[in-house]
Amino acid sequence: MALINTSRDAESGAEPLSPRGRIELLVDPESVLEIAAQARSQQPSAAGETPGDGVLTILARVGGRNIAVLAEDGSVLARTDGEVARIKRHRLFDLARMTDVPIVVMFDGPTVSPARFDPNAGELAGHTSDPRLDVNLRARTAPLIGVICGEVAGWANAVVGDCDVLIVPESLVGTIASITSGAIVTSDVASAIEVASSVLELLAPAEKHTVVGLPPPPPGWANENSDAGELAAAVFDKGTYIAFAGHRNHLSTGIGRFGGWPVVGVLAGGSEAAKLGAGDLSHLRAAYALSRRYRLPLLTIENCAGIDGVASLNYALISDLVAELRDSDALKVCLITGKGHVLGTFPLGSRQLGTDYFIAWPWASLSIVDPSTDYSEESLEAVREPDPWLAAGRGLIDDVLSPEDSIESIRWLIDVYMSNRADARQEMPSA
Amino acid sequence: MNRMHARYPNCNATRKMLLAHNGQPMSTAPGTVHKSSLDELERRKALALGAARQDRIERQHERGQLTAHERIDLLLDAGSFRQMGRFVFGEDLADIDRTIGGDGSVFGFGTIEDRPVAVATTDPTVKGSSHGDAGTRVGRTQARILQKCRLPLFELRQGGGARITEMISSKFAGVGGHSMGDRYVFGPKHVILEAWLGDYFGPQTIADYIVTTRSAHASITSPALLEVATGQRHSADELGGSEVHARVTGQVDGVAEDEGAAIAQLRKVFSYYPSYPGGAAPRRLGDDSANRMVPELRTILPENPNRAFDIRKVLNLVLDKGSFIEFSPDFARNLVTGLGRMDGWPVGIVANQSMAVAGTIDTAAMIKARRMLAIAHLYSIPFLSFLDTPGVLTTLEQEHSRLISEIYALAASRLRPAVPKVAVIVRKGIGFAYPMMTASDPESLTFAWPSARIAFTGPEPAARIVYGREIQAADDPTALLGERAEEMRALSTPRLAAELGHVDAIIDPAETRKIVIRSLDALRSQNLPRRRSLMFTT
Repeated sequence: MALINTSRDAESGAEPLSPRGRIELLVDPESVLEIAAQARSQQPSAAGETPGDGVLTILARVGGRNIAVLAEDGSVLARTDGEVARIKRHRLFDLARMTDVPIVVMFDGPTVSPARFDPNAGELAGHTSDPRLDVNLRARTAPLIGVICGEVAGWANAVVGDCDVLIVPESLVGTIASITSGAIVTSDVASAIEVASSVLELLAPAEKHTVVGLPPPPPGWANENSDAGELAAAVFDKGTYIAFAGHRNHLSTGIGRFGGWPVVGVLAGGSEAAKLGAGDLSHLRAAYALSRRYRLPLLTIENCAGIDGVASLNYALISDLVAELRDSDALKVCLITGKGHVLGTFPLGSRQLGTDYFIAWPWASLSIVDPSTDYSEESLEAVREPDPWLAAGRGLIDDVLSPEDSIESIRWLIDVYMSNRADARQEMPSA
Repeated sequence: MNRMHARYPNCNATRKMLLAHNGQPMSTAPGTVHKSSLDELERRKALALGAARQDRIERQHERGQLTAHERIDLLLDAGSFRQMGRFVFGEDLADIDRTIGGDGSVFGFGTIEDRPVAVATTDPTVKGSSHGDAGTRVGRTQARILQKCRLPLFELRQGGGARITEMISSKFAGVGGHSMGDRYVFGPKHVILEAWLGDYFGPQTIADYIVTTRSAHASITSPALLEVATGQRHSADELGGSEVHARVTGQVDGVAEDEGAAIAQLRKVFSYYPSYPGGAAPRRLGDDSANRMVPELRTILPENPNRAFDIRKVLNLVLDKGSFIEFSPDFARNLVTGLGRMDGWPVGIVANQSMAVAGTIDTAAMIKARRMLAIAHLYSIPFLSFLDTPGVLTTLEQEHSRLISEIYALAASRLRPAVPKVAVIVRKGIGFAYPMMTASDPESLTFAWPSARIAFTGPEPAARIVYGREIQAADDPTALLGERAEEMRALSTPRLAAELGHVDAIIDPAETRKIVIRSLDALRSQNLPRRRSLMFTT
């Protein structure tokens, strides 16, 4: 897991951030429109004030663009989940879905265990608070971002695993250990909220770019043995790349700006012998889902020797991976900088799985197996010269390009794809 | 023997020959300076551009024709071409140097006036520009990208269609089925503009604009194959020469004298189209004022209402100066169609031409009108019609040419475009032809010149039907017919239609340009519901 420690450390002092303080940290000043602010708990025995029935539902802006925010308020009724709170959640998720705006959920569930219910809690039977029963969040067309601010419990259990991006402070990692393997880990809640803000800005389309006058490739780009993180830093616009899965030497998945446009990145590099493990495949699946769901370009840069033996037997995961790629309408670009050996290339986006633009550097090694592996002499016959020329000659890859030309070509294509998307929000007329 | 050896028995020897360079095998060790690989890249780039087939290039030039890359250079902005699959070669590995560069097909991307486009063309210097397996594979990849990126496609055609040497087996069953017919079932997903630059025998696309050189031929079968298969002997000119397509089939929109002119025409026409269905068509403001009065229009009509005149004079006076591009001028000459500009915005145009068949509408004219309506519909281009028609041509021949169906098809097409529509009745608007020319469409604006005459049928036929017995019994039937016809003509002035609101205004012809521009502007922001239909009709 990546540990992101921003300069801000608002929670290092004695006063933790309130739910409203968290929201203020996330959104543009004076952009908040609160929904159902006057809502109160309807539990007969609720004593005292129950503002919002323990949940804030907000429409606001980040970087000038609309979002929906749901923040749990742990100070109300010991963070229990009330009927009014459920209705508010439903309303907010429904509005967000209808207007295609991103949703940020700030999870802060019960820490007092067991949760307290009224004697007449039986009335709640049948009102199980899984919002997916009412609002099909999986049909959303804008990102769902989760920020873990406290415990995750009750209804939240059903949603947190669905988040496109999950951000968790280091101190809370243990509370949701089973689902944080792909999360972004920060030093504290304030940093987590800052990361959420950065992700939202990344996902918003940039201003329209022209297809001429692209900047030259960055220094260090041509080193195919850069590790995944170095590669990401070299390829994406400076300072914009956010790694989702923890940075490892051989694989990084994340999102950043590429030529100004939001692009999902899969960078496999580093050690020559590096192979993908089962954990890596999970990270790939999350990245592919993000690209598919929001039609964000998927850029894969590959120098990968394959999948390790254990992962290659995880058929269910591989099947999921294949489905994510195959069903995606997003532009998929794959560049082989070093090794592109089939059992690595396959989950990283082979032509058969719909890679639209598949290119290689002149010294790329493309083959069915890793030539350095101890295979029999006979089976190695076809991979003695695993250069890209035969694949290019058969039209299986689209081009062989120098490092400088490759980045320029990719930028051009992504620019065209995103420019025409930005120009045409409406669907094509039916003929 | 592995699969690769089974398919390419000589692959090892050939590959070693090709892949070793400077006497050294290529390095694949990572982390080194890959100079040898970069040198190989440069060597192959040169081969891809034809370094090893100079003889073929010279022969192409001797025929007065250009190579694929020369054509692309004429089409695209300088230096903007990016080829897909440029290192693709043919199945015969012993002939790689002669086929590398796309194996007879050149696909790629570039820009025209900074607008991104896709290009597909055949390479006449490789295997008679026939389509091989590998080249076809690259074409499919390009098609996927251009659909995702919503790019317009320019096709520059010359060639023999599928490569028979590679298709002679039953593997032909795998060719084409994935894409043929797509355009009809699902509707086009991108703009296609096409030039026929040499002989092409094989399936064609129905493009949004097709220009052919005068010497080019295009047909599904070639004269040689026709003779072998059926015994019929026809020349390429008879089967699919430019004259045949321009006059008889109407399947080309323009004829150019040479390749340069044809490609220049594509660039010009593209400036009227949006980059993709649903996109905005580009506006090109010239020095022509939107408020320009056109006094010449007051006197442009002949005194005799039955005398023919050239409607193109009206179009050229009303549209932005020099902006009119006529489609298929020699096919269905009784209807003029094309694209023009009004205040810089592209408009689709149909206009009755009284100089041919008195401006009646026959089935050929209906096909021509439907094509322009489909373009307006697909690319959200406003639609402008000029009426001067005595009605639908209802001869025996026409009735036997599916007239009923064609009238219905055009009537349906007329309602489909959810775009601003303006109709100007210049002279005659008679019978079914009136609504078919989009006049008095509830969603459009309709203007009539004072000279307009609107009725179910012309004055003479109307007088014969209404006063038939009286005329028969008259001492001078001809004189009475003329008298009654004149009464009928008086009833057909646009005054009553205007009073009833069917015609929005009777206008001074001199104000036509100003009023049409104002009307299109007023209708531009209307949010009309898009009508759905299953068929794209051309």
